[in-house]
Amino acid sequence: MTKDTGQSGAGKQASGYPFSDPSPRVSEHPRDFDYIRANIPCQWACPAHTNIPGYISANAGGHFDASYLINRASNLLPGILGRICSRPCEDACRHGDPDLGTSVAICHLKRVAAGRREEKVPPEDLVFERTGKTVGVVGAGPAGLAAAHSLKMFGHDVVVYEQFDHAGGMLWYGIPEFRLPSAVIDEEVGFIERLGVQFRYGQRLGEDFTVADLLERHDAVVVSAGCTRPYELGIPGIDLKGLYAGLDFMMRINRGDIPEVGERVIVLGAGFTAFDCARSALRCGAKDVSICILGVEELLTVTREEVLEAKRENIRIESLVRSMEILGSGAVEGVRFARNRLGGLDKRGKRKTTPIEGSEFVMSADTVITAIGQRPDHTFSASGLDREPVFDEEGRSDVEGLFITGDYLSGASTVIESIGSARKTATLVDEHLVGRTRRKAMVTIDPGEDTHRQRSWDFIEPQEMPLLPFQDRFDGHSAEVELGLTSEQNLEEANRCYLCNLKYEIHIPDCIYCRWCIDQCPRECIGLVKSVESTGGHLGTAIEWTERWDEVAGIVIDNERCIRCGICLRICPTQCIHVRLVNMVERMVIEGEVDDGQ
Amino acid sequence: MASEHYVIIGNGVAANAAVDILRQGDPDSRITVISREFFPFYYRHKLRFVISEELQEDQIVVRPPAHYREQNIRLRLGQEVQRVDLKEKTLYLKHMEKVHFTRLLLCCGGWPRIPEVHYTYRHHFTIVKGLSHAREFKEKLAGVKRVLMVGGDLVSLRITETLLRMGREVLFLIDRDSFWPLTLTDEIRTEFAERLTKHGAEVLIDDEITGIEEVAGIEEGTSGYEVTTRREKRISCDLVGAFFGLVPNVEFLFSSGLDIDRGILVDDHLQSRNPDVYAAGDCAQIWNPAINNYWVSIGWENARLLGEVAARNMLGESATAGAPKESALDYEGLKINTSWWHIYD
Repeated sequence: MTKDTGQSGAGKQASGYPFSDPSPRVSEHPRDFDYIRANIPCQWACPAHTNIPGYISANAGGHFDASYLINRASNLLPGILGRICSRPCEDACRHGDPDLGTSVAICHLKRVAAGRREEKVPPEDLVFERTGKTVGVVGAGPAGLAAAHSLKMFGHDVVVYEQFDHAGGMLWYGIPEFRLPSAVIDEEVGFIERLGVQFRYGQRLGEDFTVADLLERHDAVVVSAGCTRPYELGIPGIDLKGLYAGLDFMMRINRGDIPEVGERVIVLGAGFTAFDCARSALRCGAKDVSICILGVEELLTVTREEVLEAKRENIRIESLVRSMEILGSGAVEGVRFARNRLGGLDKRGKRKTTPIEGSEFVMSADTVITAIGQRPDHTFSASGLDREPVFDEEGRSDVEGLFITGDYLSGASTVIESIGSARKTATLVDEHLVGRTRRKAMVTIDPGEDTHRQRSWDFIEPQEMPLLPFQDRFDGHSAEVELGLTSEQNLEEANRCYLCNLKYEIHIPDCIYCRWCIDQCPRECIGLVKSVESTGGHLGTAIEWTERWDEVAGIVIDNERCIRCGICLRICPTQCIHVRLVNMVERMVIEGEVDDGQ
Repeated sequence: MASEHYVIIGNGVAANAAVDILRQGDPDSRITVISREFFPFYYRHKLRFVISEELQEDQIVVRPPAHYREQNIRLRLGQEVQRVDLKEKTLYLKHMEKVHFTRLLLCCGGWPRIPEVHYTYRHHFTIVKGLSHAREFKEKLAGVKRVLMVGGDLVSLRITETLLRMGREVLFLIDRDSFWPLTLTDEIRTEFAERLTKHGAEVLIDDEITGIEEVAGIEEGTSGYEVTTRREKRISCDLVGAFFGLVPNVEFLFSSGLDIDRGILVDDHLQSRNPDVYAAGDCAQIWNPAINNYWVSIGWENARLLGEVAARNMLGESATAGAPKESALDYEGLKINTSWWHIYD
């Protein structure tokens, strides 16, 4: 028996299926996951595999509680992620294909669901009886929280050990309040506490306890200590007064210990922390702030909106520059740079940059902030043990019961990647504790119906996030800049989503080959075919199109091109076009095995 | 059968200078020019005379389509390149057609720049870059009494003169940080303000827009704008003209694999990282060893020279862009050197 974790949203879309094969199906076949990969690119791109079309559909219907729960089932922190997610889903969104316009603002819709839900406390998440096992989790950052939540759902007793006096990790200490209000963190962390997860604050690994201590206290230990060791710039001048490490700079601000900055600030770095530091520096009183990056803006990993907002606040981005020396006698006076040239790809697939000989120049500054990233301190996970543990790619170790997860496993990543990583680790820990897999990803295929999507919705302009007026932003650090979409904007933006979890199919025996669907299709995704073959590859099928009637073996809809406009469904005179609702969900396996539908 | 198919995206001065060199150097080759605009190559600086109706549209044409036919050049007007696939050497046009090339020259020019601080108001702004904009501007002017000009660039100064000659009231909000391509010193800004005032414009300095709201127009039955400023001024006007200069028009190239910073990054031979792709004119960001910096061309003459250099290199020569020719923004005797334009924003 399985229990739906609330991700499918099927109840909102599926009803009244009038066709010949209405039976719902649940599958674990790789072919069906391949279908999801090719056809629901947003969900596949989300590291937590959030059912995005499912929650957007619920948003459009005004079912914000359902939308929030669909989100929470996968990504745990919708209110937080609705503000600061790195949005890999939006990069993958089909609406952003070159000939289709702009991606749906998926992240903003998540925030709407979190903000407009009526049920302020989500229903009890516990699915399993208590197991009597206990797990210690080190670190209350996004990964630690996600691991703790999942393990509690599995019925284990969970204790989280956190070095600071607040849960949230980088959410609390690394991200400025004008992007992520602390009340939002407190609320969503509170839901995890309410579930019965215990938090022990002020407990620092290696000082107050060791991994060996925890392995004695608990049946399993998950270390999610994040990335705390800053990369070093390795250039002269890094000891000058007026130079800050980016993470320290943000942590001081978020603790209320506002650092002193001069009028001219240079930030070295290209990630979210660099942008947060630059925007925070303005709120500390800086007048002239530049972010200096090795490469070019197009290759930045921060969202385009973050770049736009920084520029809107008059922050300059100096591209293709490499810092060679921090200048000054006693205190920072400037930075000597060389201009860069873009090169090929490095080992990690990132573009190399090379300084150009003789191109050096100086930029004046009173303050320099280095935000070039952090890495994990792997000495933590060995604390108290008589040898260095060895970890596999998924975070299992060769020490009985010891696991690592999140950024501590992968190196610096994003919040959503940490959550995705920790949820996978939690499943492994549970397997270790109970001896079987109790949470599985599955594909559900249910009857669907016409969404009455209008073609004009494909041309709705992306809704712009309402913003705090410029003049009201800089009095302190806490005035949230993005104000959230209005109800009207929510509906408009939700209507832009194609709902790629719908699958349109032609039931060929009923088709009279009138070609109306082909003629009306706005994206040329329906056609006559000579053959459709299963390739066994990740896309599943190879379609051989034809226009010769003597070759026609059938008529098909290419769902990878289809924009789910529904015109074919409505125009078909024989009603031979059917809709199915295909979702990738996680199911808790309570007892026995799940029928894979084969 | 011709071995080369040179495709040029853009139909401005850089593109046309290149076309001449390519046709001369490789008479049997295929040459295709693709332009998003529906109108043939024209003098952009004469658009203001189209707005004032002192010139008809056909009077600003540099080269009519017949010229291209005579030269055996395929001119595709009103066609937009949506994507460039360098591996397949294929351009994907918006109307679902593919065009193959052997060598590609990007002369896609610039696009009106809206500084991020003004991005929220972009739907309220009227811009003038091409002929279609000039037509729109002219049409809008019919019911317009008062125009607010914001930003500042050479085009805006000329259009202000034109509007004043046409009897419109002009209020010019000079933006010190967004004047293009310069950051104005107080002294130069005062000089500009004096000259504009002498022509009859009202000039606002040391102020900036904090809100624009669409309201009923000054003339009955028309619509207009209520603009608020940081200094708490409320400005009523019928049209807001935004003139913040240009940014290279390169967004369609983002997925191509070409190196793009502000513009298309090219060496001093105007060759991109892909040996068969060159860029010239306003869209190219050129490494210049003489000044050890990147620069972007500004102005008609620079664009023409760059078009020629790119074409020569496409033909196998080894021409360098060198230092751009000295040029100056000359506004009624106020001369500012704009030869070395490095910074856009």
